[in-house]
Amino acid sequence: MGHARVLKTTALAAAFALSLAACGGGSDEAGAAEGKKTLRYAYAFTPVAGLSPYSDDAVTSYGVGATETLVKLDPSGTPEPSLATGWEQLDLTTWQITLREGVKFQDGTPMTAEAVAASLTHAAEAKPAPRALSGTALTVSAEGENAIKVVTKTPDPVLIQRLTSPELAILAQKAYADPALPSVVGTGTGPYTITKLNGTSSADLSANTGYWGGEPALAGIELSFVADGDQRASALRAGQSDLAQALPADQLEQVGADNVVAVPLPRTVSIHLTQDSPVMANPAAREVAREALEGLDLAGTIYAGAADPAQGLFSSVSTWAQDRPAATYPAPLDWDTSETPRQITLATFSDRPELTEIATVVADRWRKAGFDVKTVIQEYNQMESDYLEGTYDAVIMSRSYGQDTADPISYLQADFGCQGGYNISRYCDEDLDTALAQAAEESDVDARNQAAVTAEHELLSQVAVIPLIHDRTQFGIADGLTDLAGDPWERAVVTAQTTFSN
Amino acid sequence: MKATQPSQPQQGSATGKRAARWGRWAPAGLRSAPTTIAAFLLLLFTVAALPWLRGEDPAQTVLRVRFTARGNDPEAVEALRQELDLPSSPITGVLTWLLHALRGDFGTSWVSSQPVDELVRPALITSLTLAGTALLIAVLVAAALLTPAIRHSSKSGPTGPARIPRLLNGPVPAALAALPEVVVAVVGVLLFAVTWRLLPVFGWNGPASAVLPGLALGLPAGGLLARMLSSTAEQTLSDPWVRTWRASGLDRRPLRRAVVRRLVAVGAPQVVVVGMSIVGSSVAVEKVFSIPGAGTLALDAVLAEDLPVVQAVLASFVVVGLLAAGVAAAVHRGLAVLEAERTLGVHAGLGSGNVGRRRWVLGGLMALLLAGLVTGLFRDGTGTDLSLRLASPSLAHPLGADAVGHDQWGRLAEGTVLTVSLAAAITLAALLIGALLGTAAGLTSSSGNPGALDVLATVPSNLVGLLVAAALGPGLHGACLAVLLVAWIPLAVHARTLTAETRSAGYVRAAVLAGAGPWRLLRVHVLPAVLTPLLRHALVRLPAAALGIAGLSFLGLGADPDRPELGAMLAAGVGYLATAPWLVLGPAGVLVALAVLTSSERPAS
Repeated sequence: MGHARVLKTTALAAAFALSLAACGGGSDEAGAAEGKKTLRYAYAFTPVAGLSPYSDDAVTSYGVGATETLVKLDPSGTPEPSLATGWEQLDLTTWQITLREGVKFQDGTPMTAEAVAASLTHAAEAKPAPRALSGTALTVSAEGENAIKVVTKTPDPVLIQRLTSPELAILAQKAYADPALPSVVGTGTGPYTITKLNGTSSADLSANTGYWGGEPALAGIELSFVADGDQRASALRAGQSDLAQALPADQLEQVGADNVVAVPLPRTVSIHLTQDSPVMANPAAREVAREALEGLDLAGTIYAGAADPAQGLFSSVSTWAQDRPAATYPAPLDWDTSETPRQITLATFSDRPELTEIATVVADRWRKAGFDVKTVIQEYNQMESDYLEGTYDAVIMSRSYGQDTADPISYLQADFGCQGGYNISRYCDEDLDTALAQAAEESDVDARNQAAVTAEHELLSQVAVIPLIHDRTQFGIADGLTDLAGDPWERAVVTAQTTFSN
Repeated sequence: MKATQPSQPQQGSATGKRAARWGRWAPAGLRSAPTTIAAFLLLLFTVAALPWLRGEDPAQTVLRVRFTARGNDPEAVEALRQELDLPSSPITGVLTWLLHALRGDFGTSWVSSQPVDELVRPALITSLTLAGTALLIAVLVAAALLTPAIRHSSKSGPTGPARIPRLLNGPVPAALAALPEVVVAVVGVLLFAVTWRLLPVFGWNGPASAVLPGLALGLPAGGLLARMLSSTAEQTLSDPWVRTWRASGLDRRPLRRAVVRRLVAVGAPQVVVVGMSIVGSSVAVEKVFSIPGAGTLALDAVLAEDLPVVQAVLASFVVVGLLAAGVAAAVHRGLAVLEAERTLGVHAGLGSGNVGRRRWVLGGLMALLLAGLVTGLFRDGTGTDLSLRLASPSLAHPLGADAVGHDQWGRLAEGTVLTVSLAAAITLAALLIGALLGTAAGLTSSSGNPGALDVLATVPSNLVGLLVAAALGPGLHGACLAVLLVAWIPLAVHARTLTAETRSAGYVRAAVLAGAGPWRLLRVHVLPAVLTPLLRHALVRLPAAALGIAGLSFLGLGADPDRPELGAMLAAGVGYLATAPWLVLGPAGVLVALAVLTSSERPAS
């Protein structure tokens, strides 16, 4: 009898907890004026620096339409007007940029030439400098009511591309109370105003009714930071989110094709073969490694069709790279006659679950091809130094070449130049360096792109890098959600037009 | 109740009695300030020394967290180093930190530049609320599991030895305790949020959002608590006075009250232990539900070498742990039974051997597992085949295949061998260390000085794992070391208590009076009384060690994700729970089976 009583008490307590739960659940759509809806957005990246634009958080506030830049990139990577309406290069180092008229910051102050110049000057003086301005020096001044003048210390043909970086968002004066960590709360120019940042768990946004691009279609945005990809998918399926960013490939089937929007990205997963490794220094060993992976359908299996097989470093976003010449590979190694050691370490990072699976498959293939493979898989932040110092013989990397400037030459210089800051292959070839340096001074876009294709051919033929797949970003969307930005440069997501059609 | 107790030989001086009681559950901070402070400082220095242990410039690490894939950029690193004002050595780092902390200034985060107390305080409140919810659920679960025992005490016959119904005593709590929290969490989300749409998938707002994470943490913790309390219950029920009472045919309600009272008294400190284990395992659950708790804050801060945040979180964990231990000690003291009962109980309670059907069932389970293991080892668990990706169980692959087409049976066998052998090695080492230090502490200190042990016991195991991983880099060796660093503590505490109790037992005192020397005492009386229960305790903790390794691997701090290790396999499989449940059932099943098997182990006395 005592037994029964305690069980009953337990059951009552559980029922009570559940009923409390039921009361607490079900978020109401408060403040939805004129039938407009609030978008519940499950976002992958937790803020690292309180949404400061001088950090990786810059993309977050840009993506939800809180902040804007002077210039933005069209899908092909060509700069197009945003807060600026035009630009002109006066001489090698001087640019004049005309500003859009009638723009107001979300705090009500007008976007004057002084305000824009001050905003950019803060970015140029920030320490450490934002990544988009890394290695450059510029001075910005107001030029009359409606234009600014930018003077670079050295000629910078991609200055306009730099200005598309969300790190260089134009913010109102009051954002810079702490110049090291500008605040984006209520200081941007975009269609949605960040009204509150709730630590690292969520942010509230409301429509900016005075938006220069017309009245936003949504009442606001409820932005939740959900680091776990499976949970973002679950939230979408449970009807608790309307938009889930970066769905993992393993969740696509359950979410269903109708509720997934895929955007091909300038992002390539490839294996970098470290050129100063005792094994991979030998081109013939690199060719064995490449050959062993031929016919591997990673896009169709591990990515469940949500990626494209890679032909080179540049994805289908870069239309100019698509008629590339076929690579000419070296002869493969014959283990019986060679002195080359077989022990290699293959590294990748665990942040993207697909990479772990790829590493397992690649290691298995390479073992069958004669290598003695050890794998190291850790979080990216734990490994970056080791990557760059050439600790590993091979590194599987997911790399966007559209970051910051979206300029293929800057990317090639960083990743394959002797002085490159991100040269995981540890590739160093003077001829390539010279060619890239020449291309970097070129202001004709076609000529730059052609140089990029030539460099890519060289790198593939040398087997410095084995491209595996081109990634797509997978947005999970609730029924009826339309007019997302579909930006291949992984920047804009929600626009003033984004709305529910039902 | 006191009136009906059988008369006990008066044992020990007043101080001896108090000593044994304090020795178990004293609030460390008050009794042994020097050792407590020393242990706390040691922890702080370890944290402060992280950049030197890892040999990497914190400015570089912090830059990388602010901007991923920025690459080598010496200019930016230099600028950041000036901004951060990094200490020049761990010692100056700790001293400056302490000086400021004493004035209530915990500094600013290196990564986000926000004041540390603004980051830590809400996170800590969140974590404690979550842990409290989970603990409430754990106590309810344990109560449900133990109720039959208490009912039993009033119903069973007057003569036979009282036993808790077998299943509820051993296998069920053991199996619950071995459930990986993340699996419970994900199953809960799929059922209650996605399918039935009752509860939120993620977030931390309102009671509803606490239910699923609370269950994920509380169910296994309830199993653990029930396990810890069931031996106390059984022990109490076989005490002579209980038997006498039952034989007397008197009203049994007072008896039941007395048993519950004793369970609460002994259980209070164990609830604290379970509470701290909840805090320790909450990191993974916080991650799953995107709960902005202290565990996640600590994990991210350690990975980013954000030392001010790590130090503040660690210090607050220790303070909370000590406060909780103090409350538990007060409850224990308030309700404590007389020394005599406990001393007798230790000798009377152990060693009720296994009888009957259950042994056959467990033998069958063991044989099945071994057969599966051995045959599995002959299968190829390392070869990949993408055409078999997520293949469901078939004749060729009876346990299915994983995401890269490994034969799951072969892989499971390899994983079991790896994880279990590591767990066994860790348990053996923990047993040796625990026996040595615990017996020494029990023999030498008259007050059973618990300070250092109790401070260490408040540090959650996953946090130790984090610190080790931060110092050595993530890896299986580091994970084993982290599990060992935590595993020896309960064994040492147990050994200390057993030694102290043996010392105060009547027959040992008689031996002393008869002129027995210290070595003879140790050899003939103390060690036999300590080692057998300690061995059993260690065996019971073996699955915990396996779970510990698996848990760290799950967080990415243990085995590489492609190693056939049970935790790594769980981590890889949990995303496929809805489409390929066999990837989770296998490793989770092995962990649960291991716990069930060891739960029956009770060496005959």
